[in-house]
Amino acid sequence: MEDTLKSVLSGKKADYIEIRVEESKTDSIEFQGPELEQAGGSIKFGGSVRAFVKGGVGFVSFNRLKDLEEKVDLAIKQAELIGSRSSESTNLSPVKVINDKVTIETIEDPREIPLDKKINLFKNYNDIILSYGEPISSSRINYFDKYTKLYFANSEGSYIEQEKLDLGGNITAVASKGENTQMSRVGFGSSKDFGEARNLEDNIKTSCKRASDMLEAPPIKGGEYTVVLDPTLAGIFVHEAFGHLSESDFVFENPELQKLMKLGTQFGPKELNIYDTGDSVGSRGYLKYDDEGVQTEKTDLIKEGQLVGRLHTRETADKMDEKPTGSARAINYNHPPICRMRTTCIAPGDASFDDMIKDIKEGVYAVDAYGGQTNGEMFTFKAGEAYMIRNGEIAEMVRDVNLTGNVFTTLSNIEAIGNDFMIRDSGGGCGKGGQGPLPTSQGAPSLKIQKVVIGGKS
Amino acid sequence: MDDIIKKAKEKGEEAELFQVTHKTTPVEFENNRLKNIKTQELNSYALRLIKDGRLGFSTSTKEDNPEELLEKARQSSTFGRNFEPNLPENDPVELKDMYDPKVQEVPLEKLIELGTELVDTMKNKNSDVLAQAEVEKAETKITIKNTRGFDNSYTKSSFTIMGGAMLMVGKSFLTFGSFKSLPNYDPDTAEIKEELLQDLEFGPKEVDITSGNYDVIISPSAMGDVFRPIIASIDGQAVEKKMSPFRDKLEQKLFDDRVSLIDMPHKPWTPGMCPFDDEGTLTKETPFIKEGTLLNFPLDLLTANSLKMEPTGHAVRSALSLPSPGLHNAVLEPGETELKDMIKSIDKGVYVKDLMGAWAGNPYGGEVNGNISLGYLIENGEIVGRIKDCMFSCNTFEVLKDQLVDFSKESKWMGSISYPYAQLEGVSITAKG
Repeated sequence: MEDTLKSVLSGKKADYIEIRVEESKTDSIEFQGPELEQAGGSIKFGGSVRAFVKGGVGFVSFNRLKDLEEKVDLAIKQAELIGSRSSESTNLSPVKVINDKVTIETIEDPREIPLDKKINLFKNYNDIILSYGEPISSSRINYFDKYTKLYFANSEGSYIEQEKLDLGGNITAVASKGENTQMSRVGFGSSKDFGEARNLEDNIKTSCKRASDMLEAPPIKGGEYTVVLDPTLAGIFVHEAFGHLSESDFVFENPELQKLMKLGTQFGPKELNIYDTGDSVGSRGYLKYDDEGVQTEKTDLIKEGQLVGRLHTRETADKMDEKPTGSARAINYNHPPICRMRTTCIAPGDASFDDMIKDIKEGVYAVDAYGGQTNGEMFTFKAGEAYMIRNGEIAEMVRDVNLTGNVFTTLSNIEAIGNDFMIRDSGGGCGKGGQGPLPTSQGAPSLKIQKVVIGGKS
Repeated sequence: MDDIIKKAKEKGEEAELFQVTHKTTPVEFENNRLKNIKTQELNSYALRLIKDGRLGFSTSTKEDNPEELLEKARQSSTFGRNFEPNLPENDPVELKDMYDPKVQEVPLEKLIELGTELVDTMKNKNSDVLAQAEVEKAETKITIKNTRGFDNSYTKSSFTIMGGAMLMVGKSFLTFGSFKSLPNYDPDTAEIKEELLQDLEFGPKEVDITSGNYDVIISPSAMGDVFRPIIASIDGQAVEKKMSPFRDKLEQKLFDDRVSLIDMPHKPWTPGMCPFDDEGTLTKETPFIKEGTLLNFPLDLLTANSLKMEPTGHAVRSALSLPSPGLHNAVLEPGETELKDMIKSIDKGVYVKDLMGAWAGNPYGGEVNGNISLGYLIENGEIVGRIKDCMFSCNTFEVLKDQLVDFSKESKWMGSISYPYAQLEGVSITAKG
């Protein structure tokens, strides 16, 4: 592969060219109710070329390697068509030329487990749900593991071969009574260990109970509340509330926003520290080199409440005169890399859970995550499970809890940061620009936040 | 890959090969300038193999390994679910008006010109705007072959124009957009421009809102979120797996008389047209909800078989996944009122253009909760400004039964469903403070 890619690149006329080739093997398993809906394998092969000419960018993807030369020429032609009309340049921040081969290290490698063994494990989980009894009426289980080999070469002389492993899943219990249907799920994920899928029996039983209890729980009354988030939901919070705004493709050509996002600006209390890292070995957001061939790092975003950094591709780093952070990621060969998170974390504080809730007269304890969304400024994050807090104690369960906030106010409303930090992975991922679900991870402790708006009938 | 079906047949196995060839060329403008031209190609194969009555499945984007594909599907069939129904063997009729040769013929320069026009329209209205645009031509060919002799394909064209922008208003991010995507080449951008200019007009002016119940107009884009519980609950698989609250409700009146949802897969020049579904069953017009009464669930072969019903021709799949029930070209029937008259009729209300995060969570309870990422306050029949930092909440099953004022005359295709605007009364908005 190295010779093929390098020989195609030699002698081509463009400011910059990169080629990515990817082959992957995926196993996936899906149960719905008692049926094993799917247990099968997928083999993917494909590649893409990105060429830069005088500010224009051409991108071409393909499935047949024999077409490579023709695709490189097409990408250059497309870039020239734009470059000839453009007055602005698109430059890439300089980075080290890298020649490396990255292999994966695993604890329990899913590729060494026969498909029938994997199916049996999930069938046992499925049986736990389906034999739980009323009101549990159905189940849904999704599992995948994916092994990828990536080849990267660019016209600056870098050549990287990188192996990646990604696995994850969700196990959902469904309860129903009359027209009321409620669900609760257990998620897991890893980049090195199938063991993360094991020993989930107790969590699954808890999920069955939660789904059953939710049938009796009323929807939450809408309003502004003091909330306490568990580490899982706090992880989604940091991803939506600040992570996306740290992605510089949103900022690099927006002068007004750059003023608001000046390094040194105070965003939260002194206790607040947020970072995004490619170094979290074992989590799904782990990454040694990004899809521009840049080595990843731990990037501090907020230190002691102040903005200190952001996530960059080579293009955004050049424009803002900062350093690339190894944050250029593509969902697969069919898309160009864009600025993305890896593992986004709020560092632990020193508050205990009891301290957080003890002074709350009426508030909400929100646990576990169903996903979220942001436009950069306003964001939402949905709880998997929630309880009212009354007079400093956890009280009745409520459901349909979707929380919203605003990056310029909510971070400064963080009142306490817990000491119970953990990195959590789920079977989901992050979507952006039509590229999802991308494996990302979040780490956080419990958080106490004031004045969070929760939707619902008044 | 061509004789993979023959090879399976020789072994006495049933098999189906689903091949997708997709080519798309988008021209992209970012932050007011022409930035990318992409050419994305995908050629994929998905094989379903039924051996000893059990279903096996494998997929590949490599064309040179039919044996591996066959072997993987065989292996997977040893665990697969029972597959009792027969694969289709009928002859589909050819549909006209789904392929327009002009789409591929249009030169890149014309795509660039259309995008430039949208960007300039926004820049001329407000020079601080960061405008985005995308003009894309695409072509998709679907081929299905099976061991019962079905061997058919169709090719669909698609032409998409999208415009949008981000504008900083103090510390507020105003993000808006408009698009159309149809099989035929139609370079008319008047409606897109009108919508973009409207958001540029009203978006920068912010007004306060307090929590309460309001008359609400929901745009086709936000209808995608508000209608989600119904789409999820009519789904044949959700019925089969006992997740859907509608599972015992066929022939029952669940909604207001004006709620009719009808799938029209042969409607000319619409986005989801297809002569047969993604496992070869012929498609036809199917009413799911008619005048508020639930009439049909979209079903594929397997769900129909297990529910002991007839397949409706609603197998839908992506290039590399198994089929499951879905919609092709569903039309939520429009109403009598024009959007402008809906706005005029409201003394104090909210016009919801986009919701954020409302897709998350359990759809089967009917609850929809989302941040109003783009929405306006209406006072005395006029839009007065943008509202922010507030949540929209409703139970779709309830509001479309008792709180529907009307649907609009105007409709818009949002993917596989055409939605009108909906006016609802007494919908809860939760705001700060």
